[in-house]
Parts: sequence; C-alpha cells; structure tokens
Amino acid sequence: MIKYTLIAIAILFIGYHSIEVKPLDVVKKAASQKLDAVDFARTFLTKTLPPALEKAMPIQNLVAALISDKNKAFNELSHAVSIGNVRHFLVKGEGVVSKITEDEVVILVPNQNKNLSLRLATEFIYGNSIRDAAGLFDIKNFTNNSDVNNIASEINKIIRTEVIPPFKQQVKVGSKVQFTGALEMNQEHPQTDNLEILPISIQL
Amino acid sequence: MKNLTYLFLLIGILSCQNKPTDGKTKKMAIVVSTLNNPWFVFLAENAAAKAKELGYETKIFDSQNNTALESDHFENALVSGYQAILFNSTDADGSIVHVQKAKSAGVPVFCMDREVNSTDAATSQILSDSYSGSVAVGKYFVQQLNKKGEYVELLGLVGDNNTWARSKGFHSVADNYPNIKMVAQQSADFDRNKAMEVMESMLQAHPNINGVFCGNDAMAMGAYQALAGAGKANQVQVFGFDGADDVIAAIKAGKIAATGMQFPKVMAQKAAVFADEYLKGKRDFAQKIPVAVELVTKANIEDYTAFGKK
Repeated sequence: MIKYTLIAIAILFIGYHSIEVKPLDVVKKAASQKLDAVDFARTFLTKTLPPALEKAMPIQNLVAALISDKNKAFNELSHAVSIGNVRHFLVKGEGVVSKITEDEVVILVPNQNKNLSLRLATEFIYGNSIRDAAGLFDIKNFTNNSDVNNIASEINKIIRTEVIPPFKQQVKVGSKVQFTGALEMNQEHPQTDNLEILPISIQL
Repeated sequence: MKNLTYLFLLIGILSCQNKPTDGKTKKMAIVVSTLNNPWFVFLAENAAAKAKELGYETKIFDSQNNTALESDHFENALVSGYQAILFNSTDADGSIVHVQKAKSAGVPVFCMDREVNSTDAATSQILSDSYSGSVAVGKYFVQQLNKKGEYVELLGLVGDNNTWARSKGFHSVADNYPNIKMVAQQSADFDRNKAMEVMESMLQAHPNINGVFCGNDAMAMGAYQALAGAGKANQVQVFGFDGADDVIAAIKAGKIAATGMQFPKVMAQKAAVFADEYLKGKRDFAQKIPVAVELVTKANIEDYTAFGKK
C-alpha cells in the first residue's frame, strides 16, 4: 500500500513539474508581441515614410553634391542600418521616359548641360534601400535580425505588387514621370552615372 | 644595507600592484572559435590590433571549435582581470552560458561575426548581414540566369545561423521566378572537399543544371572543381559567399560568377571600439548590428581583395 502511495506521489510530483500553466491572457499578450512584418511594412510606407518623401533630395542636386564633395554628401544625406560602405539616399525627380525594358524604365531628367539618365527598377526591387534611405528605421528598436530583414522584404513586396503593376501598364516612351525613390551607393566607389532607383511612388 | 633591502622590497611590492592582475590595467580578451581558419585569424588579429591601438593589453584565446575549451577561456579571462571580451562564438546556443557568466561578473561581451541566440547576454553583437548579402547574390544569380534554368544549392552547417540566413536571403529573390527551379539542396558543411563530393553526386542526378548557389566560398571552390572535372565548368555558373582569396582569383579568371564579400576587419574593429566606449561609460548599444556584405562580380573585382577592399 505504502509502495503504491509513494509511486502515486512521485507521479503527481513529476506531472506537476512537467506542466507549466499560464493564464490565457499572458500567452495571448506574448504572441501579440511578435512582430507582424507585413503590418509594419504597410504602416511604414503609408504613415512613417510619406512626410519624408516631401523632403527627398532632387536627384540632380544629389549628383552635384556627390561630384562636389563626396564625403560631405554621404555624411549628410545617406543612411544605412548596416555598418559599412553600402549607403542609401532618398531622392525625387521628374523626367521623360526614353526606354522601357522587361526590368526597368529609363528616364531622362533635365540637368544643367545634358540630361541625366536614370533607371527606374520595375522588376528587381530587393534589398534594404527603401527601408533605410530616409533614416527613419531605428535598429535599436529590434533585437531580432530576422524582423529587420523581413520588414525590408515586405516593404519591397508591396512596391513590387502594388506600385509597379499600374505604372507598367500605363507607361510609354515619351511619358512624363514624377517619382520618389531610394538609391543605393557604395561610399568607397560612388558612381554618378547609370544610376538605378528603386521607386517608392510614381506618377505619370 | 638592511634599510636598502627594505626599500627594494617596498618598491617591489608597489610595482606588483600595477601588474595586470589588479584589474586596473586596461585589458581585453579576444576569444575566437578557431585559429585553424585564416578568416578567423584575420578577425582575431584585427580585434587585437584595434584594442592595442586604443590602449589595451590583449590576449587571443583559441577555442578550437570546442565549447568546453571556450568555457575555460572565459574562466581564465574573468580570473585574470580582463575588462571586456571580444567574442567569436563556437556555438550559437552552447556559448550563451559563457557570455552570461561574464555578464554576471560585470564583464561586457561583444560578439563578432557569429551570434549567440540570446538578446540579453552579450552587450552587442556585430554580425555580417548574411541575409541581405545573399539577397544581392540572389538578384545577380537571377539576372545571370535570365530568370530561367535549374540550379542546386549547397548549404553550410545545418546548425549554424549563417547557413540559414544566407539560404533564406537567396531564396527571398530566386523563389519569385517560377522558371528558375531548385532541383537539389544538400549540406556540405562549409567544407571544400565535401562540397566537391556532393556536387559530383548531384551532377549524376541533375546533369542539366545552370547554376550552383553555395553558402560559402570554400564550397564554391569545391563545386567548381567537381564541375571542371565533369567538363561542365562553362555550362554551370557558381556563386559563393565570404570573399576568400581563392574565390577572388577565381572571379578574376571567370571561374566563379560572384561572391558576397564580408568584412571581418570592420566587425573586429567595431567590437573593440564598442568595448572601449562601454568601459568609458556608454551603455546605449544596439543588440545586433549588421555589417554590410557587398556583391563582388567580374565587373567590380578590381575594387576588392580577400576579406575586404583594397
């Protein structure tokens, strides 16, 4: 009898310590603290970023600033979450479409002596440029790198699926285009020609 | 004469108090996963050099990819009065306890390149942005394959966080193109010889592939050897990750299509600077700081050398 009582007590003891019981509201709260990258990306594009777009640097001015004083231009105008040479600029411009390919739309932006030729990406919209260009994304708010990466990925996905398709449907050679976008550049080897811009907003 | 002896004895005692063991001498320990790999030697030496430049005594501890040895190194570092540890972990999970022990002893730990799976153990973790680097490689891969073709993927160590960060970054691009099809995916443990064997086997089953994405450069070189041996080096494009010297030479020679260049010097120096700032009173550090990885192709190869820029 004593033997069975001891076994029962042992089973109860092990069973009790094998299970952790938490109130449902605590579990729900913990689950809700997981980042929803899709929701964050949409809020970023619709609420966080728009005020900054109005202050984006005209692309001609940025090119002039880079030619005049590269280091000053990078220090004052570029942003990046990562440490290193890869930096991002928030830019805007207006030009005329000169060429349309499967992956990009080439536009000519009037500049001092000759037009500035830019490539607006319409296919390969990847990377961190749109997330980082305005300097509004603070990595100190995140402890998990996968959240930081997922946000960039979802931002790009929204641009690819919602901004690009209507633009590609309507754009023609000769169309006038207004855009805001993000420009990635390597600080060690900046290039001021053949620039590729990832669009954030486009108007025909 | 007796008084002179006492004087020398007193001087001796006073000078002993200034030795490193008193905890006042500025000292940083560099604990690194292995010194058998030149990449980690470069990382450790650059961390030590920067710490010395900032006025610290340094010592490099080699964990030989062994968490037990790593544990001993942490014990030694704490007992010997090192004020900060610049750390390259052997195991993302297994190393957490060592970092926590240092934290409990009031010694900050700054991770370099390899992360630990905890957000409240290390003071800050300075890590290659493997995901974003592989996004760049993935974009170039899709462009080079003209959005169509078959490919295989060689994964690194399946327990290593970098393996999956690189794979996920690559797939976040490649998987958007339905005419690009991955026909096989297998681990080759970041090892050149194993990659060659795996690639040889894959070629038997999938002779018509157009590309290979490898989680590091050693595997890329192994894959290339297998392809060359099978007479398919011109048919299949190989993509790596790291920026190792033999791959830089192979990109120049047109054997490898691209790699993601990591910057161990940047990570090592930043860790030393952060540790110095911490010891001077700064406390506001981001938990994880990515270091940009740059795409290296034949078009920009002249700008790069092994482990970073020229």
